[in-house]
Amino acid sequence: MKRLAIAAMAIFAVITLTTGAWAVGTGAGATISNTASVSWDVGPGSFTGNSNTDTITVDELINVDVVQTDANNIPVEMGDTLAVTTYTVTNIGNGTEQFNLTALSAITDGDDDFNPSHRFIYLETNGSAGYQATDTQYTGPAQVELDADEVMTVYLLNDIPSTGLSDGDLGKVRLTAYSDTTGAVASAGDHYAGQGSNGAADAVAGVTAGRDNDEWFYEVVAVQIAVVKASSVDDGYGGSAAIPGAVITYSLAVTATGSGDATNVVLEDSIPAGTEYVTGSLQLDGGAPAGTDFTDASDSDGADYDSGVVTFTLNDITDLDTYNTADGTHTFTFQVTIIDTGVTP
Amino acid sequence: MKKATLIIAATLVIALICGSAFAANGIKLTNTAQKETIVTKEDGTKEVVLEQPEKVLPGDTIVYTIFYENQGEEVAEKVAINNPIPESTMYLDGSAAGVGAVIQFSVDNGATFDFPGNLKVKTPEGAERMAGPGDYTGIRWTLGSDLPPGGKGSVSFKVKIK
Repeated sequence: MKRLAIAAMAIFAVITLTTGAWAVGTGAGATISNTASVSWDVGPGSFTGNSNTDTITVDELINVDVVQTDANNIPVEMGDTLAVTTYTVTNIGNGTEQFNLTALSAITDGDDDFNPSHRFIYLETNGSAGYQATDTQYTGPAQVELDADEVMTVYLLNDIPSTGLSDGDLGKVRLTAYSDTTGAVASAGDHYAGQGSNGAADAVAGVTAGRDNDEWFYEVVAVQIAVVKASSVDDGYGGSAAIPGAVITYSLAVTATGSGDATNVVLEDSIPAGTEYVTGSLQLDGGAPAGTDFTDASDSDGADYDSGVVTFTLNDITDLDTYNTADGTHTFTFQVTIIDTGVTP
Repeated sequence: MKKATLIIAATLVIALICGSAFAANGIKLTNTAQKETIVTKEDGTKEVVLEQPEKVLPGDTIVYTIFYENQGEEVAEKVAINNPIPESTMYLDGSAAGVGAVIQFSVDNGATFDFPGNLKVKTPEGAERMAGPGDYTGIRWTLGSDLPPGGKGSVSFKVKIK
């Protein structure tokens, strides 16, 4: 008998805990009525009767859930303005409730390297996913009114410091939402007489104590492009003497370090005085990239020679239009012939 | 206009007579609701607290107790108490109690009653499955013996507010 009682109690406990994790149940202000009936016989006669009706009104339960929704850290560069992190605020209580929002960017803890500077909170209201200036700026108290189970998308806009950051640095920001009824500091179970919504008499702070927050990161991506220039001379006699008629092959080895993508990378090099460009000598990694001819003409193949200047435009080369660490090192080459004495490669 | 008022008044009188007739001569049912809270005390033991359901929230447990009393002059036979599960609540498994009563459940809004192991419901796909406590729509207590004049007792059950 005792064991049975304990088992029953355990079942109740599980049910109670599970309910806490679910969103909204019966709505605030709903009434639960109960009436029993009875039937009996007296001799050949049958009779029936009803009990009184007992009515209970469900109070408002205040709960809120804040969840960041970006899949990855938000890549930023130094000096970026109005960089966006995205959150959802969900009313997981059972009645209509107004919420306040606060943003925090000055967070200092182990996984945070810099402080973005908070600019604005915006609410998704223009029906077009993502932050736009035509969404609504959150300006203050209790501006977010949500029905039970309703979700609001919220954007935090931050500026990124323009100096002092390194590749991979993280800047953490936090969005907090709290019920206008409970205020920012409440405990689960706190009772608010006369403040229920949807016809409920009272409101009660739920397991979230009427507030929640979530955090997300801006990550500095600082890609750097390094170019190493080298030369080799072929004098036509099996040696490397820089004599007239010898051919110098110049190589430009390009490597990206850091993270992120570099775009519009352009290499330019002027041929030395006393040399003459070897027509058709432009190459990438020892040849022409697939699908291009890499001619000297000023066209869309990414390689040009004109009036003593060699130009490689990576933007025009498939797969290198955004250059990053994954692309490894690529070597661009061109050749000149020495026509005067006294040329130093 | 006047006639209509008179008819309503007459109906009310009849209703009042019938009501008092039951109260005086039949079985009176009184239905009460209490909120059940399990409190963990400082020594770790748990205590069940029952209180007036003034503040109720989704997830709360409500205990309904139905007191019955034969206020008539005759012995009542085949006494059956019937209580539909209230809207927005779910019956808590094993909570129905009633000394000496046969307790059965309905999954069809009171049309039929049976024991838990015999109850079946249809899935949305049309197949049959065993009914669970969440499927119950009503409870019936059939008293095991006749209720003499003055005889009384109570039955009870618990629900969770959805």
